[in-house]
Amino acid sequence: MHSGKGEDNPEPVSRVNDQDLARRAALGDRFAFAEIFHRHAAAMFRYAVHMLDGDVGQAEDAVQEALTQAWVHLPRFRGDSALQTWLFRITANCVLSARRRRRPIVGEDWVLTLPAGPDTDPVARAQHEELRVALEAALGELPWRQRASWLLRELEGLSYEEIADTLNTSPTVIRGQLHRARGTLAVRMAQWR
Amino acid sequence: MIPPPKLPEPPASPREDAMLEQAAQSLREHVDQRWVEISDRVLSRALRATRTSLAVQARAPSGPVHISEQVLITYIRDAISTVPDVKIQDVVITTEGLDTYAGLTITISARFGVPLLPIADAIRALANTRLSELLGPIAPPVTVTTVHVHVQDVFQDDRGD
Repeated sequence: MHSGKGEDNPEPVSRVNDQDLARRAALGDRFAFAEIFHRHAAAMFRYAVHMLDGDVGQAEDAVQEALTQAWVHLPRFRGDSALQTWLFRITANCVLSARRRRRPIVGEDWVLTLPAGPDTDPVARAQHEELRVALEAALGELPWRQRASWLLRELEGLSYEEIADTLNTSPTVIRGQLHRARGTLAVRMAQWR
Repeated sequence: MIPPPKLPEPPASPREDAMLEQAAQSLREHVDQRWVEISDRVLSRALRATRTSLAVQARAPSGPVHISEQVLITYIRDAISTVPDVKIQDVVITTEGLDTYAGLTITISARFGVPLLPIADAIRALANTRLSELLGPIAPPVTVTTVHVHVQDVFQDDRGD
């Protein structure tokens, strides 16, 4: 790596805002890109996993492709949108490509068998797990744009405008998509109330 | 025209619904554990990708060679990042013909109130040193027109927000 906190630049990358990080990374600063990665890549992965029905292998491939594209194309990023939105837009496109490529497969157990959460109480943990699996199943039934809108809003906290920018549509459409998604999820999760 | 059946009103926001919020939180944590396992690999693979770049002619002791424009930009950025009160916005290499170095434009923002001419001189000197190291005896010589320092903006606070 060529620059960052450890070398000549006196300002630690952790204190730099997203736009300045993007400029630095565009000019080849790998420390700046690593900081962008630490700030945003986990959310990109979450989005990909849930848009690809819990298939972590495909999600990893999609996020790998998205981050590689981000690194290569950062010199073209002009800051017209927030960096996070730009990254989600790339991720959404990669996920969509992955969905188009995939063959219809029956869900396999390993897809949902990830390490257990931090809960120590086995009963609470089991309830937590059931709730999560139920929500994943309910999300899996939503059309992709509704699912994407819900994930970006409720899991990642993006505004309607940012979601619209990410999914290449209007805030009004997003508002409608979220309304329908929330309605469906409310019905599907009613037994858990 | 018969109006479409009215859907039952969903909750105002799942954020206000403790159960859904708990499930969403569980969803976040569940995926995050897997991410911890793979994130280092994903980052290093992404950084191995190379950007499209022009080749710029340089002169090594053994004869002419070509250097990636991206390498020049990275080293020049590294050099001028040591100048205080400056944020580098862009570095653009200009070539003539296919691959002959012709000049450099460095776009910066500077802290409000600092004298700009000494900053420009310092940037030009550092760029000259790096260009000489990387390209060998280069032509045209470094001047205010071949190494153009453009101050695009000013900032006031430490973070330039």
